[in-house]
Amino acid sequence: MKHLLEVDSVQMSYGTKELLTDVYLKCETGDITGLLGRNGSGKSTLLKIIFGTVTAANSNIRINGKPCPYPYKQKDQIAYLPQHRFLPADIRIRKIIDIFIGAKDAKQSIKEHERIGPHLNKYVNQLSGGELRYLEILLLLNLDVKFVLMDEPFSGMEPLYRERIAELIKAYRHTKGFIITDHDYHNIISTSTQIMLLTNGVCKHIQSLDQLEQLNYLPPGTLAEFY
Amino acid sequence: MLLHYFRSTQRFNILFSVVTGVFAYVGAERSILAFLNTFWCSLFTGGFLLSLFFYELRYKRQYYFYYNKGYSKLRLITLTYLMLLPLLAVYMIAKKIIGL
Repeated sequence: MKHLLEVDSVQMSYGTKELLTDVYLKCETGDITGLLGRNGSGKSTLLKIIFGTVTAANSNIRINGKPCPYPYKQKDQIAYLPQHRFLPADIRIRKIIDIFIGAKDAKQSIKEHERIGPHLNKYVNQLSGGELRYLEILLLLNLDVKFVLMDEPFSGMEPLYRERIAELIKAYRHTKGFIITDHDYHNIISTSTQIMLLTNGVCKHIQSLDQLEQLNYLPPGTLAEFY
Repeated sequence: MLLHYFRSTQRFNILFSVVTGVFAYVGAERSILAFLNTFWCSLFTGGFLLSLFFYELRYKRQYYFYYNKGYSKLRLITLTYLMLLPLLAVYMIAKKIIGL
């Protein structure tokens, strides 16, 4: 079944600075929406507004046409991967899986996962950055939610883990819609099915990669490697 | 999930309330009643607030663990507070039975 997430009229200011002036974006099941933008353009804030943990001056979030002002308070709607680590450090990974994942078969499949299985008796601070990020993403993907928002899933990862994370996202695409933001535009471009650029407080739908240079997101000539 | 949040925050609260209770015990010429009254009072007021403050200070980022399961901060705090009430009820009943 296809689901639709629509976000429009998002307005947000910090003091006198208008961060988001009129954002519109749409994501369906199967979409991987890559959200690009320069530092401080409001990407993380926008994801938090969509998730519902940051309140904007104005925002209109709908899931399947129904208004949903705080999606995170409603189970099974949206999951969110923050930039920072969020798993508790005082319990073992086995326990984290047990309390975070509801479905028995999903629990089992994570515990038997080739990259997670060997670490079940460890604490999260005993994992490397890449292993931890992979675990966080795998946990969120196994939640029974319609959409997943990811804030910098590739950040600070070695190339091998970036590839694994991209594979993981693509593997769950048939059941969920994704909005991903990262400064690693290579992985965003190669993983996404549509690209949006957040600039001057609005989201611009990128039809051709050249626009990323025209809109001053990338320096001229950067895209030569993609052609 | 909720039990994990309860344990994470209330560990500090219980420890803090025991310490304040001990101070009351010593200050009130070794009165066990002073210890108990201060302990329970702290558990539901200052100790509780301080435990939330320190959790916020140290583990603020972990709230996303709960948010992803549909628990808002307000809901977590309210449920944690309510989970303390049965303990108080047990104490009150025991107090009546013992006749303190």
